[in-house]
Amino acid sequence: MNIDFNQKIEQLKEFIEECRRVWLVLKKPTKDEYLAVAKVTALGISLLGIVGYIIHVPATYIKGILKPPATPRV
Amino acid sequence: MRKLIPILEKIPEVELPVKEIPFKEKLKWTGIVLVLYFIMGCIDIYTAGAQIPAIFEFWQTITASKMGTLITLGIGPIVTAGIIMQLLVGARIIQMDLSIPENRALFQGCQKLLSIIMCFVEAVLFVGAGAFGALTPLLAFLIVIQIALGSIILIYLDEIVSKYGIGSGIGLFIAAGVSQTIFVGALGPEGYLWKFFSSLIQGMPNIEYIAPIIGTIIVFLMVVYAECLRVEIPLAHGRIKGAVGKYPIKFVYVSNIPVILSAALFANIQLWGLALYKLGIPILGHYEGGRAVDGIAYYLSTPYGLSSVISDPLHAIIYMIAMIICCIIFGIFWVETTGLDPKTMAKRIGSLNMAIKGFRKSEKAIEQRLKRYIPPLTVMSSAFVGFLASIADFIGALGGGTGVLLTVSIVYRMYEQLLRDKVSELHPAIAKLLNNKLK
Repeated sequence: MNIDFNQKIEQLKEFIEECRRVWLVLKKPTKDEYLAVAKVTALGISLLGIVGYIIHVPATYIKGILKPPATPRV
Repeated sequence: MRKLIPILEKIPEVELPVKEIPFKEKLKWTGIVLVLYFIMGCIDIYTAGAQIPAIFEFWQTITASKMGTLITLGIGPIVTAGIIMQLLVGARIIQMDLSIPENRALFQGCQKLLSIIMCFVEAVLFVGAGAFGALTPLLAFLIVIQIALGSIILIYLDEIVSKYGIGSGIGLFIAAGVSQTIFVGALGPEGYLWKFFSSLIQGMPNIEYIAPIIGTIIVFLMVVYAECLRVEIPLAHGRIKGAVGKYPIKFVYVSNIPVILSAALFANIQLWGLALYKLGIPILGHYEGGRAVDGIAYYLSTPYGLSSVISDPLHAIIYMIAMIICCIIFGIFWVETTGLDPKTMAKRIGSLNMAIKGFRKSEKAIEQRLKRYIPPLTVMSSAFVGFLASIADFIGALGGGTGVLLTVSIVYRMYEQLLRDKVSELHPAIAKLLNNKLK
């Protein structure tokens, strides 16, 4: 039991060492890469958001006219 | 499990495309499903005018749901079925070798059957937990049927996207829901931006109105940075001497699935806790006004925004640790069940005729090398996304921190697939190379 436990600790230590090594070779993005990804994702989110907006806002408005006492919707 | 096959064969499914779908078709299908999803979010179910208490925010982001509409349950049932299957197979409670295509099909079939069952189970839980207030039995039954059907429609829309569109339906719905919340929340008729401007005009700028918008931008910039981090393994070409390439692996290797599963697990705990509390069995915690006030349910509820972190730091710390641990567990299972493990990866690189620099060209050698990278990467990247998701929640963003985190990575992955599909239509040979590289 005791030996088994020690073995586990050894394995864990080894694993943490591996993690540290991978962490050290981690490559950070250059400014250009970062901006490119930011631009693409911002565009994508805007596209989805605008489509959602165009469908949601008029629909909520019409529902508001049709049944004024209904519960407010988010 | 094979006993289920006759039942599984009876479930209708979206037919697999017979030939490669052109890029434009894929875009078209994705667009159609997106619009249908948004329209479903505008259709109110029949409740005979029952009041809908605002107690189910915890459910909305992660399941792409909209309370009171056809998508009240959202993709909750699909994700819950996913959690159960991942746990069963990942923890080897069900022995299944997923590298065999037949088993894969069985796995997916079971997951779908379970999803449909969960549509009804969760619909009952919702009504039981008081999501629509007190109801007559007949009305309760009608509501259960309506919201269960809504989610079943989503199961099929998800299937359409997976087979004919870009990315997965689950990802599309989460990203669409969060993006919509951001836009409507900031710029809608009662948007925060207008509220802030009007308070500015009145000469008393109210920080509370602008904080969610700034929070959203901070979380966005943070997640984009994390998305860019990668580890590069040097490769040499097998036949052409001297040709050296790099095989990049993203630091967020396990991507967003562990976060989706963990967050959905926590949302389920809230749902079950609330339903059990209503039944008089408060084992997961007591609730007041639909919010958990003690017990496991309280500590696993998301602390939104800085003010709630400051008011109970212990809650925030426990939440973060739980999130990280859950993400690691789901991350490890996910890597095993989807072929991101060293062995499968090595095969993929081997088929590219590349070898790791300084090593003999053999799949075994590549596998050995990858083994030194992938397990640490899996654990670290799962822990990292879990950490990032909880920090994002603490900062507070429109659509929730976790929501924005998921949306950024989903949208970026869709873009990558778009790029690959487009290239493959123009130059099939280059596409093969790119395809392997980006996976």
